[in-house]
Amino acid sequence: MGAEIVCEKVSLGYETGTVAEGLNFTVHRGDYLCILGENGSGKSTLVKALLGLHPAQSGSITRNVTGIGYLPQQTVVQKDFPASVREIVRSGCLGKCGFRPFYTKAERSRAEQNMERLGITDLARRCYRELSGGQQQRVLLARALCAADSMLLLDEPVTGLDPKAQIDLYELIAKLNRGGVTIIMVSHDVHAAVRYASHILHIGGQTQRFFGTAAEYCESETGKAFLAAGGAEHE
Amino acid sequence: MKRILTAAFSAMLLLTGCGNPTEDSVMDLTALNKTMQYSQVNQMIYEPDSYIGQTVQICGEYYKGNHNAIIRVLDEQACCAAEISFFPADESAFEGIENFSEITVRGVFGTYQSYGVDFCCLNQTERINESKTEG
Amino acid sequence: MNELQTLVDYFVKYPFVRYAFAVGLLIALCSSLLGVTLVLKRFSFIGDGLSHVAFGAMAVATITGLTNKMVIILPVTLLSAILLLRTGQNTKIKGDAAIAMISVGALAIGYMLMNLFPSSANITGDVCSTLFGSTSILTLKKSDVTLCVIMAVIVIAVFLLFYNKIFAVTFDESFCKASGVNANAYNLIIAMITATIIVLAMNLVGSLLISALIIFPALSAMRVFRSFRGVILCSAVISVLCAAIGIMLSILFSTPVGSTIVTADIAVFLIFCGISAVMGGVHR
Repeated sequence: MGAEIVCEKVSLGYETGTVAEGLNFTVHRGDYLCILGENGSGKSTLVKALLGLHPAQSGSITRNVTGIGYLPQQTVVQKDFPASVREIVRSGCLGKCGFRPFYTKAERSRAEQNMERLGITDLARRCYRELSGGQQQRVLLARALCAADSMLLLDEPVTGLDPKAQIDLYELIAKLNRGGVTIIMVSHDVHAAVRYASHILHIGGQTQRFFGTAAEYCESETGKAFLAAGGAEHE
Repeated sequence: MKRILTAAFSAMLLLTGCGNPTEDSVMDLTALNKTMQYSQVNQMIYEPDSYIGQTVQICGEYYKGNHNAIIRVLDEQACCAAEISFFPADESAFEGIENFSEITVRGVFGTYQSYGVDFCCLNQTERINESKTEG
Repeated sequence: MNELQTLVDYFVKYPFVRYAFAVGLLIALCSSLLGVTLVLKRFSFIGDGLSHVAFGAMAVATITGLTNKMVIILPVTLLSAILLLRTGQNTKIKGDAAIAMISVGALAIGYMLMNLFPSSANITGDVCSTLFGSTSILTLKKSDVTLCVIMAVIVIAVFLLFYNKIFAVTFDESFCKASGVNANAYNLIIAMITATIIVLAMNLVGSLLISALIIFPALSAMRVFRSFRGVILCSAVISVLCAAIGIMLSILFSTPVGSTIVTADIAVFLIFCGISAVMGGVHR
């Protein structure tokens, strides 16, 4: 059992106060974990903590991975950015470059492979801002895979996509997961979560409301309520 | 006509060596537009070494207060001025000129000392009475 | 063409023309490289803000009578750049009022100081020259040129060495931090380069027009080109060409250098807008 991330009695917050506490969960290799919760429940703080960008107030977060590929929410700046797909995907390799000013052949071919894997090789020279929302997300996904291809952390990846593109992206992520990539996804889409994920973590009211398999979630009180309400901010 | 002269003049200079003016020719700055003239006078004041002994013709405002007479060379927008003292070859040629009136002079560029500091000046300066060329 | 002949002639005869071209083209090159990053990070205004701070610093340096004003101007501008740019994109939302205050305040106080403690007879002329860069580029000394060349070489070297990282940090700061790239350090480097270039560019186009020198080539390039590398290269070429044309025209026809260069930049921008409309390509 490769336990890749273990959170024990973690509480998160800032100087102004605690945002969430009592977080206890484990992510094993090959899992597909979906983090659910309303806005302000501490999901983004948890994301930063998992990435090692923000310290936990108490408790421990143990990481047994070489790196986590991150897919952050897109900013307005990015949607309009003049860069080719290839340039963006390659930038995923930067973490390993150190002071080296150029990419090695190995890094470049890894970028090509990841583009191939996500079916965007024919977009390599296209300008990022001309792509559709779904295509842009696939580019960013390829970039995340370049950074670390054993675990991905995706922050609301389907926000703003039309329904068909959403399904396409979910299918793609599921395919990656079947291929051995551990997935942690922050989402507010509870139906998709239940459908694709292996495990669910539900945060609300400044605490952990549920952690377990997706099947268990559907049977739990929290799960049933959330599913009935159609999820918190389901658009 | 002036352009042909300038072209011939510069061809001569090119033959004698790049950039630095030679001592036996007149550097006529009045042929340039005002900003160029101002910039070149400024250049000469700040880096005088290669210009000492050079005969220069400039056009500017005359001013005489309690000290040496000076020529003030202005740029096109009259924004900045470069001032250079001059010593007349013949005092009488410069009598009765009003301050701030435009005159054209030709002199030999040099330096002089005052209170231990080097200043630039034009020596043996003559007054030229030609109509001002297109600035 | 007769004009071209005259220009070559001037170039050969008068050292200040050579200095003007050398410094002008180098500054144009450096500011265009930076302009792309700043525009994309939504910091287009920074040229304005920092140049006003530099003007204020210059006023203080002038009244203290220092011969080498850089001793005051450069550190003050560097510090302000770091404060304004360090926090990356967040500053824009929280700090734009603070920046406006500092920028306008520095300008006002600088001008006031220069009038209260005049160190030359022609204050208006000096101020005009510093703000609009009428003749400062044509009155450079050899030491100015040397300093400028050294700084330009450093800026270009830094930009080339850190090109990939500057791209990544401009495109997506959070991703960079997550994958272990020290985004804060690179933001700091960008801030320092910006300050250096702005202080140098005051000589070329004057404080008020620096923003134009930084943003127009970048904006023009972004209309047409589709990769970051393409945008950077195009921006550099446009900037250098416009600076060359601007200096040439202003020498020949006695127009103020700064405004002429910016006019050339604007003309190119309109041309590129036209090209992109014809290509029907880019959305914005």
